[in-house]
Amino acid sequence: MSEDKNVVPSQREQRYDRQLRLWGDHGQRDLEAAHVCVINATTLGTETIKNLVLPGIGKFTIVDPEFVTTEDLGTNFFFEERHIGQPRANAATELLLELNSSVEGNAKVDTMANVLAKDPDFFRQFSVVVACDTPLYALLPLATLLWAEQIPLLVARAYGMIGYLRLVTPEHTVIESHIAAFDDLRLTRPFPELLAHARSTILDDLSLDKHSHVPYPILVLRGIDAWRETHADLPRTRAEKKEFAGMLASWRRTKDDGSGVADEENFAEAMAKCNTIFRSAPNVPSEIQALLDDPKCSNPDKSAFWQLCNALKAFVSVHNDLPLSGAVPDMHADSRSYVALQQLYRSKAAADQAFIKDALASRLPNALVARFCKNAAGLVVVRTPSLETELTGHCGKLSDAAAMSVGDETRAFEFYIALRACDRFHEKHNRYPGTGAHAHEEDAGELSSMCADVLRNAGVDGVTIGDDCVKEMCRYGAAQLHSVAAFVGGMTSQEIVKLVTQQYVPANHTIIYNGVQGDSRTLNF
Amino acid sequence: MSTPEHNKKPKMGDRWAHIDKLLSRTGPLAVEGFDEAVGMIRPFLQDSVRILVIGAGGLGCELLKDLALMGFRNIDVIDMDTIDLSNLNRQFLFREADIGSPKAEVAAKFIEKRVPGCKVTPHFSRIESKDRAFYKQFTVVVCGLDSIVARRWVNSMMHSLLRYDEAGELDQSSMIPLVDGGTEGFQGNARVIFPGMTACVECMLSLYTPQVNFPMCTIANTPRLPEHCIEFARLVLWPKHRDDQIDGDNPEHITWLFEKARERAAEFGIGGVTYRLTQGVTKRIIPNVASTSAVIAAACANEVFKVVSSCTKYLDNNLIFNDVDGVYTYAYKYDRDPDCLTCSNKPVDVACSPEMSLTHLRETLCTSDKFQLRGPGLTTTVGGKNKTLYMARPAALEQATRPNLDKSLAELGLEHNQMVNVVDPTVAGALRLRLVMKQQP
Repeated sequence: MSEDKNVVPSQREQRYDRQLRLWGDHGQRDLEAAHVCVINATTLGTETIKNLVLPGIGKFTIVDPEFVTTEDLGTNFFFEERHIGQPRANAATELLLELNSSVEGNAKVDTMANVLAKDPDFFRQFSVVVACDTPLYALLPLATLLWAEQIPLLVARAYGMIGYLRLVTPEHTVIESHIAAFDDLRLTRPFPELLAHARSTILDDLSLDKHSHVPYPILVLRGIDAWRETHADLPRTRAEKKEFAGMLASWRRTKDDGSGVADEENFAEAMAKCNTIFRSAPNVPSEIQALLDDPKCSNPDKSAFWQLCNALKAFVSVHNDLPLSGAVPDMHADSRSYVALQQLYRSKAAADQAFIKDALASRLPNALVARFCKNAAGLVVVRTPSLETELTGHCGKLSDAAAMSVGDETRAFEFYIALRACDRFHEKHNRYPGTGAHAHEEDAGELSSMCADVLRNAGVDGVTIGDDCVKEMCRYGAAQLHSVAAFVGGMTSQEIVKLVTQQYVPANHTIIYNGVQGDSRTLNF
Repeated sequence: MSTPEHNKKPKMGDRWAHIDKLLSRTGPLAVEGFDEAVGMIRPFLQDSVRILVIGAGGLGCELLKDLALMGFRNIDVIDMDTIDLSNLNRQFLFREADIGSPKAEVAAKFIEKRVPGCKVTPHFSRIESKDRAFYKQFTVVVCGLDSIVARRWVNSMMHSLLRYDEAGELDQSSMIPLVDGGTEGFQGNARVIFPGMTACVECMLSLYTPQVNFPMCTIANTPRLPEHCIEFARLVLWPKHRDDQIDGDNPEHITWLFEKARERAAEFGIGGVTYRLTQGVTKRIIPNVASTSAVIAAACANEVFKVVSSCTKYLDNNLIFNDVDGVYTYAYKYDRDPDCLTCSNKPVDVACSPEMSLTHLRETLCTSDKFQLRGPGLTTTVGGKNKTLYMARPAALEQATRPNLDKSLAELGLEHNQMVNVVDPTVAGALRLRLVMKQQP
């Protein structure tokens, strides 16, 4: 993709314009390099792929042994009547590829289990694997293989009014979390060039016009100098911050005609920022310190992320601070003062980046190093439990999740357990509750006792699953409502974009969508 | 799925087997009264219900697909836009060959082909060009718009259809539910509005973040950001050097602005002016992705399905969604504003004074958080006669009423408790205002 910022954009850039403004050209490159595997072309499966083909994912592969039925036509948009009796994987691939000629799509008409038995290497080629509408127990062999390969697995389901999405990955690292951070201006610990620049500004010598256009960071730094003449420490308490702001207020000029205090917006800005500037926060946020203390930081693997963290650790040990982001927010100032200030921050940020680059054990692209440094305060590592742990172990945190969901109107925890019980039912009877010729209510009793089994096996005491949840699950009979599948498909595709671009933070780790309430919760256990 | 029942030979009647599980079976979460109607609901939904989808863009394409596959067979869609290349990253009913064609028509044709039996009637027109009789035909109206003004207009229209009896009680048979979706980047919202009964778009107006405009003095005198330089090129240089209107899709126009903005940025030592940014600022582009459109449209379609069928209870009444940091959703009830401009069914007070000019009154109506009008026209009754105070259109009326703008309310003969009717682009009919004069003459 052309990245010349000075010419009329190519057709391709125009097509992707609305998303390039979010994840950038580098995010788009990562997306176009990705190959996603979707197991089962159910409604949920094709909706997920649709939302990836449109923004231009590199490749997708559908694995599905089933054939298109009439009832598929009533819920899945990517089949037509002429496809009835044909493999779902082929039909869906054909219609999905119509959406974007840049995307490659493959179909494999076989069961996941067969593919795994015949050719385990098959699944090693993917960036992400998504399993749609498959019971969890059937996924264990695949999940184990992907876990060992560090390939993320998403398990997605649309079950009547209930949606489910689970991320399974030993580790996913995020460089650009896009989580709004505080401005990083270092006013309480200015670097020498910044302090020298501030001290070269003699406020009393300035005309009123210049005086009212001094950028607020300079005012604050001059204020701190004055404050230190009478105080040993920086303003910390609410009263001290107020006193500091009052001191700045007293520096405002009177109007030229002598009719009261001039309306100097830069001073108003400085005074308003006192609370956040003097908040007590460690130089290195605790989340980032935890990353630096991670064993992988000292002994990084081949991943760029951990190598960069290793260099970051060296940086912090020298500077006791993170690399400067270099971003200066807009503020009330004249052009020249603002640009001069911006230059200082940018030079310092460039110097910090150079340090990181030198500290790296092996060479990495400059643009990547720069992005890492810029976002160092927002780095994230996501680690989820394995599917095996969830299904076979006593999961202590599940009891906490149960306790925390008391009074939750979405009843996410109850529906999670009910879904697990539906799988158990499926494992025993080879059908889901509420399917088959008999009345759906007849399955409620057995499903209810299976909910109790799931809780007991997981070591969760003192919790029961409401009869209304159990009866609703029987009513749903594993129906794929297009609306619920499209909702979960939308979420799933965005989680995939997160995983392949290392931008934004994936949900950790189980989302339950309640289509009755129209709301969702993320469970972490 | 590989359950045995799915391996049976399919029958054509199985087509709606999935929604039938919800529609032909009752359950503990169904709305009261659903039990008695079981069995009649799908025929009702498919034969008697008519849905209007407003907007055939990112949300609209998704909504049409979602509704067609939730079993609805009578759908209308209205959109005034034609298809652009930058739509294709999410508006999946359109192909490159469709660029330049009306969105509503292409979308309708596609759905009818893909989902046989579903009739989609396109309307390639502005929403304002349709009257009350048009909007009255529908069972539910669903909005997938990107403009707040248009959303407010639809909300106003749906409220104008309400009938009240002499005691001021709402005739519920005149009420048409409105489901409204909106997206921006990775955020979105969905809401269910029962006009006259629950909080409406106008009650929730404060939820919208106001549009950011850079102060003119910054643009002209102290630019700091690349955006300031682009705005200078757009607002100052363009009118000085060019006679034509700026078209944000015309590469020559954007290139011109980009060059001028870059020159100005260089003059002040400001970096970061790019073609993409120039176009973004000029067109006020809202970033959009397929996944968010899919989520929000699905939430809206699910609500339509529930509201029409009563198969389970519905969203009460507002959902917000954001999937930047994990997946965050929050559904909560937004309370009605008892003094709402649109849904309170009573005149709204506006504070003023006899000395206030008509211009000042109009400005108040545009800038106050409560009104946020865009170009109000005002009429009233003085001495038993209708009097037009000001009308922005047609031009002849504007010219005739322009002298009133500088007059004070007292000079215009307006008094304390005076009732004034207001028309505005955000309002389908007219607002009734009551002037509350601080000093009574």
